[in-house]
Amino acid sequence: MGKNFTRRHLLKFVGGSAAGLLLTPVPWKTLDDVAIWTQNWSWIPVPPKGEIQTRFTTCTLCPAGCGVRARCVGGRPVSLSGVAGHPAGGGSLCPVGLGGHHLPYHPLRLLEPARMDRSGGDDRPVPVTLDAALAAMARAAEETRSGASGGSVAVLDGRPGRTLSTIYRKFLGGMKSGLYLAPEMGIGANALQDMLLEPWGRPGLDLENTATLLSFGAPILDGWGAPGRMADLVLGRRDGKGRRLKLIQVEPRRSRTAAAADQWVPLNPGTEAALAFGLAHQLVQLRLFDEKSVRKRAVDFETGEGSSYLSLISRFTPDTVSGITGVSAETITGIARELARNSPAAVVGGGDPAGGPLGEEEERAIWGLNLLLGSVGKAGGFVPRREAPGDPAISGDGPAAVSRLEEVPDRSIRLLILDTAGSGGALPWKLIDRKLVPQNSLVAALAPVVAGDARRADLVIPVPSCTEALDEVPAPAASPVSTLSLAQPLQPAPAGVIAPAALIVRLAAALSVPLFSSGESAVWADCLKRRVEAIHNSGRGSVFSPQDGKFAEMAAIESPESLWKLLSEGGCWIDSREVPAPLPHYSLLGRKNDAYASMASAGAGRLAAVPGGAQAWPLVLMPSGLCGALDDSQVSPLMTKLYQESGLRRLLNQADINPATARAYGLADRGGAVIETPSGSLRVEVRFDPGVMPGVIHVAVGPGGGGKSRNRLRDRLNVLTICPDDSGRVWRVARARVREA
Amino acid sequence: MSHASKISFAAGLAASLALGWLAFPRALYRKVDQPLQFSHLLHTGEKVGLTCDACHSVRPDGSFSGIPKVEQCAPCHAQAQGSSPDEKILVEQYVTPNREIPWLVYARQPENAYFPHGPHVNLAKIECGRCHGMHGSSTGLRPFQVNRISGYSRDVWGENISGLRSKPWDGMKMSDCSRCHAERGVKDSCLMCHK
Repeated sequence: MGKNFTRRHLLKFVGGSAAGLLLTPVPWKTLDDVAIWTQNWSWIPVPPKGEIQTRFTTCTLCPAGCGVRARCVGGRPVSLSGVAGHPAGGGSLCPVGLGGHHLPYHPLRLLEPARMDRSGGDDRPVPVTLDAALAAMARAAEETRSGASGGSVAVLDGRPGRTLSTIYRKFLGGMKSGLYLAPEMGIGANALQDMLLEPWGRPGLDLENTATLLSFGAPILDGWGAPGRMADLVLGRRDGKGRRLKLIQVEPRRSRTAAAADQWVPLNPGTEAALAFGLAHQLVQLRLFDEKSVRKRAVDFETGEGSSYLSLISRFTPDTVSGITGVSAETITGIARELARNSPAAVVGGGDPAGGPLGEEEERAIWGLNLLLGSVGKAGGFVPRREAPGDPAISGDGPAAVSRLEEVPDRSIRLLILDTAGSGGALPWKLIDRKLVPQNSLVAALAPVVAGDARRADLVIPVPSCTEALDEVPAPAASPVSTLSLAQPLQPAPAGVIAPAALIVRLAAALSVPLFSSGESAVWADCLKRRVEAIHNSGRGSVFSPQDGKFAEMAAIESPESLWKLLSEGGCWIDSREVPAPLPHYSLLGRKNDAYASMASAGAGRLAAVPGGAQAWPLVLMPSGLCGALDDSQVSPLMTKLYQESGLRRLLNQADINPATARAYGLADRGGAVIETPSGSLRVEVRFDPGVMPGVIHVAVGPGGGGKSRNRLRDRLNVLTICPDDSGRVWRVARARVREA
Repeated sequence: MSHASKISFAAGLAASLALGWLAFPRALYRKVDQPLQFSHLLHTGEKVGLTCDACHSVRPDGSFSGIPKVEQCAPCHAQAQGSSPDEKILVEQYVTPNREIPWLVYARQPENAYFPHGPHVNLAKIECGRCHGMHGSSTGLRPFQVNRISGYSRDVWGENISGLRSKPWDGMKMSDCSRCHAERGVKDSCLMCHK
């Protein structure tokens, strides 16, 4: 055999072995085991297994304040869900909140202060010590105070109403020219304040008792309020009798809210004011308005002059409005009748979280409708909200008043502190940038991750992530009553982060600005305890307990310590309702000198006249986005099915276009395109959507969809950079054109 | 083909068959002894009379308690009850210093598979032995055979390297679960078990 064993025999042997191998478990078992091995790498984070503890807390990823039930194993949260019956949250969490416990592991997480280095075209965080960061901030603040350099110190607070907000204002009050900036959120309360001739209180919407809600673009079922509460009101049974809120959604696009509403009214972008005036016209014409109250309280309803409210709306007949808005005269009349018939009715406008607020004129037009309907000052409509007691230790010389960003002079801010995480909305950076002292400003962002506004800052100070910090959650902007709940840390914060309050306390100490009354503790938990004590001492309201879903009246809560314990265990304090104060006199047009002219101009449409007009810029660009998910900072890197893979939600610079419009411009679905406006151009990825109005393009502002470190400069370019900014307040519509990329 | 060629082919065939069926299983798995021996029969027998759920229960929140912690053994074994060397190890090395016993779990599924005991035990009323065999009557713990590639127990694939099943509890692969689901009319979906 040996002499005759040739290469041929060897090959036969090998062939036989190969054939035999296929008849053994070796290949199949090895394949199976390798598959298991490669799906379970040792470095893949796995939730711990063990006994589950249930803890209750509050979500802080947007102002809605939904209650959270956290399942924890080994002292760490492994899953989050809503709390049944929670007065703020309505029993559910949104996709952002459901992934809140993933955020401490965000790939863009910052664990030490950093200076953003932009040389070389990248945004690169370079570590600095906290002392160095604080020193730089203190130096900038001192220069404004001493006059060594011009400019102000400002704080942009994305979640006003907190104790921290008061601390910010107190700190700014100690500066020579401190500016406290809070974005307008919710239901355009500032516009109503501008119309009332006397103070009345901040309005909140008594939605639980509203019968009909007319929404001018507010994403009612997609992030406008707590998702569980809104779904319950609009889609579910709210009182066991089968009554539910009737929703009329006015917006150009067949959004999720529009699709689920009782009536969707598509209108031409930027013509909300015209439609509001048209509805007002019909309410008055058909005598469907609260005439007695309006004639008694409105100082400019009918003055006999050509500049009264009546003379304004008389120009907006249904046919005229139809020509402007694209909404038929019959529909306009039908809506007016419905609002009057199915009362109490309320009208809101708010716009897309990315598109920003409606213009002031639109908001006044909407408030005008509410006043005509008699919805202001009554149950089921808008009622003044009593503010919750604050920390009494933050007192003394007045804190800085609230300012609006658009009122701040350009090139006037030397030090800007950004606390915008969890605000739920987006602000075009250029609106902020123009307020900064050129080449000599310092922007410090307080953020857990280097994303969103933090990427624009000069310094990023790491703060605890949402499940790591003790925090308070006041009532959302549109709430009819004050509420307060606490967010408890579900897991320890990493060593290098600092709570915003602690940072401001240190900064104030460096600048010798007293924040608290003499002898009072500056520890954050003590500040909150003082506020809770003040609430207890007020004797007002009741407390919801997530453990049993019941409410306890304040009178039955023995002590401030007991109230603190209830809130620490996930409770939610709700103020008691009081009889609304009588509505004071008001101006339907607003109190500014040019009110009539500006309202009439807004009625013609918000789209600015640009050189070339509609011929050169035939399309309308509208930024879009969802509350809490406008950048990468709050989108769980592990929720890949919703954002990063499925296409269910749009990512940064993905544009929805009507298929007919797209084809007219030679665009392909999922192809590239370049959108141009008079302010710039942007490359986008096209997605066909028949729910989009022809001639309109919706471009998402985020999230980026990576989940990985995305430091490329170009990733900071979102559609807001090419939206108009002439008024400094409205960027939701822009004239545009598109071409294939 | 010449005679020698046939022999060569056959030899190769036989060699690979032998390697694949005899040597491969031995090489694929590594035996690891449990930290100590434990007699289920002793604890479930007449003398002690425990049932499965005395130590392995579904909690009210639906989670499964799994292998009991040493604090569950402590009340009876704070001191040695008998003379067994394994009990001595239990008392001296684990109960007294309150150190968890690093049991090797035969039924541990890969991390990418989600299995809740609650629906299977409480809702479907499946007996423990259906999936775990007659564990309750065992007098000792067999060595844990760990797969050198995947790192999981041989019990998941099954004792038989071919994957053929002789008993319902012989294996805990996806096909085993699917088969039982099909028998009971349960509709499967990917996300049901792979979250």
